[in-house]
Amino acid sequence: MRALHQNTHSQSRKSTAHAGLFALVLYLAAAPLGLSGCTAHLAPDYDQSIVDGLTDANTKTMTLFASTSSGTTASTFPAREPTYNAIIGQFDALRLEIVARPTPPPPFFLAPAAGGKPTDSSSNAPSAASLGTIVQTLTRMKTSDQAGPVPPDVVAVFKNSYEVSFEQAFTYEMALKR
Amino acid sequence: MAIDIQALVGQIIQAVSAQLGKDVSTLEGFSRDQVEGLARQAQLIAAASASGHLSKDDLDFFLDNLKMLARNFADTLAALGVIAVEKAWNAAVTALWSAIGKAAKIALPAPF
Repeated sequence: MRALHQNTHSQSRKSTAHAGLFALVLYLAAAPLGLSGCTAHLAPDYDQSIVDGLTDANTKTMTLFASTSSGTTASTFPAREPTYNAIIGQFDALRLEIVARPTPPPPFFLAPAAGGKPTDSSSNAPSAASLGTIVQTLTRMKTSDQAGPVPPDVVAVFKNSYEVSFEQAFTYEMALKR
Repeated sequence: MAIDIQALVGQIIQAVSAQLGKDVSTLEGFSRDQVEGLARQAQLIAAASASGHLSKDDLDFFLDNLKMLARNFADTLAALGVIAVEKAWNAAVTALWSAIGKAAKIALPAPF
């Protein structure tokens, strides 16, 4: 009985020693790489200031669309011009912030083939392209508004384009919160 | 304490599946909204054009714009997929680290 107890005790010690050795080997193998290297970081960090900026610019833009939903006339354009300038400038500034934000290199399955160039989508956050489209759309709407009447059905085309792009940018930026 | 491979595999699958399940729901909702938005855009362009409210230049602009919207949708979807892969990978690594720490009875530093 005593022999059996000693044997069990000995096995338990061996098992603990093996587990410790296993952990030590793993630790030594991982240490040169940095333990944090074991986790993947494939997209930029979440940035609350970008999300706050998007929320603020969206409120101003939807207010503009609410005021123009019945159509516009050139005579009332001067009253809207400062709003156009403010929101176009705000979206363009946010786009630049996103482009300038550090972005991890693309994972191997999105990396370009040998000799190829990385695409915009693999080297930048897609929200930058969506904000670029918003800037183009609002700039075009401003030009149309300044030139003459914009009927309600054309305002609706601008508005829907804006909403699709905004959802793309906002969804991506929120998904970075992980 | 030795690591029970079957139990560990189960824990990893559970962690990764739970993460992917959340992300798939998000991707489905986003895709549905976007596809509806793109279809609505085509409908609005056609209606405004039919009513004679769009010049040739306007029509060209909105058609190019629609192409960009579709391209940006595809790029955003791909990028959301990359984030989902990252989260699934990290869920697996967390489960592995936890198993090693318990088996070796040591406090491993968090893998993040």
